[in-house]
Amino acid sequence: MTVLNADGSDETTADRPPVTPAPTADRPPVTPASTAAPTAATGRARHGWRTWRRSRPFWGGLLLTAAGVEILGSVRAPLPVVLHVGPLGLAAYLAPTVMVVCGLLVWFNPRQRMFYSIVGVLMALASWLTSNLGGFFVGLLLGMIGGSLAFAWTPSRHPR
Amino acid sequence: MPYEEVSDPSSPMPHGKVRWRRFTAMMVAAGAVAGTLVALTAQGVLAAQFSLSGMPFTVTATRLDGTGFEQFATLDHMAPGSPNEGSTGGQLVLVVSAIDRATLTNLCQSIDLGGEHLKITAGTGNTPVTARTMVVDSDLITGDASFDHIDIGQDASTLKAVPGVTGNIGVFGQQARTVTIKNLRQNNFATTAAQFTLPGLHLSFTSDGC
Repeated sequence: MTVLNADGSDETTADRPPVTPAPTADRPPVTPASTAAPTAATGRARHGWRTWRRSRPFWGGLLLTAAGVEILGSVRAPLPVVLHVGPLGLAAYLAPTVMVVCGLLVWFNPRQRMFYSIVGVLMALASWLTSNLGGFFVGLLLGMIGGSLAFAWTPSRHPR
Repeated sequence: MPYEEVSDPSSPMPHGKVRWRRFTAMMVAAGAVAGTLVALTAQGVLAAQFSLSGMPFTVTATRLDGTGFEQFATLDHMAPGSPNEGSTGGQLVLVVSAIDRATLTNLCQSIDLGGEHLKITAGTGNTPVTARTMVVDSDLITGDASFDHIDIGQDASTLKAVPGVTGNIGVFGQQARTVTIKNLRQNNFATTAAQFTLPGLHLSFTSDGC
């Protein structure tokens, strides 16, 4: 693999939220020397990272997770107060937590992406009512887009 | 859907891509539901729920009518090392106001996001905002208030006007059967389980608050 292929991938990352996914650990630390002349090891690591990313609905899972985190961040009610007021308060936490779990499961168990993405989208819609208008609209929108991306992702090998 | 892939879970997933027609179908379906939810909320048919804390936010209303009113003092603790601590040592003496059922006219809620304000207005038309079990921790409440059947100086742990909400034992508290506040203005640090119906909902980012 050439450097051009590894770096010049077609994905635009500029407008994505700065949530770094766990697999970045595979990516070697980028030093000026390594960008100038990548070793075979860095090339392999980048290839592995890219293979991992392409063999699952990566962006769908990322957006769904980010949406859940954003809504959770907007809720932030202290837990004693939430328990104090009963199940209605807990619902504010439940929807975004399920969204985060669905987003991560889309990554780590992509075969069940249909189920996870549909639950994720439903929870994003529910968060409008339960969690600060869906994290003030931002999380609702991200969750809908992320869930739909995961829903629409398919392996290239078609049965027909 | 290539279902045969499920039958062999040990094989690695092949590379794949997003099928955009399928994405559009899902987005249209989800968008239709979201649009319906937003529209029903804006008509005041569905109630939305708020839980916020840590960030101070302002609530104003030209008129508040409530049945079941409690008020008592509490000590809130910020998260250790919170940048909002300032000179307070991370502790805030706040007034907890709880209203069982409230209607608010010309509700405006704004959250300061550092220069930019997220502003929500509702109840500006003929239909007022209604709220259930609204519990707010405030450091400032202003307005012209009148109470009906008020008990002042009751122990906060024995308050009964709002079911399920009591303070700590030995703390000053007061409760009333009904409350009316005109030109209400609150500086809040937390509101919880406030189920709001928001007719005429309008959510926007503005440079000025309420």
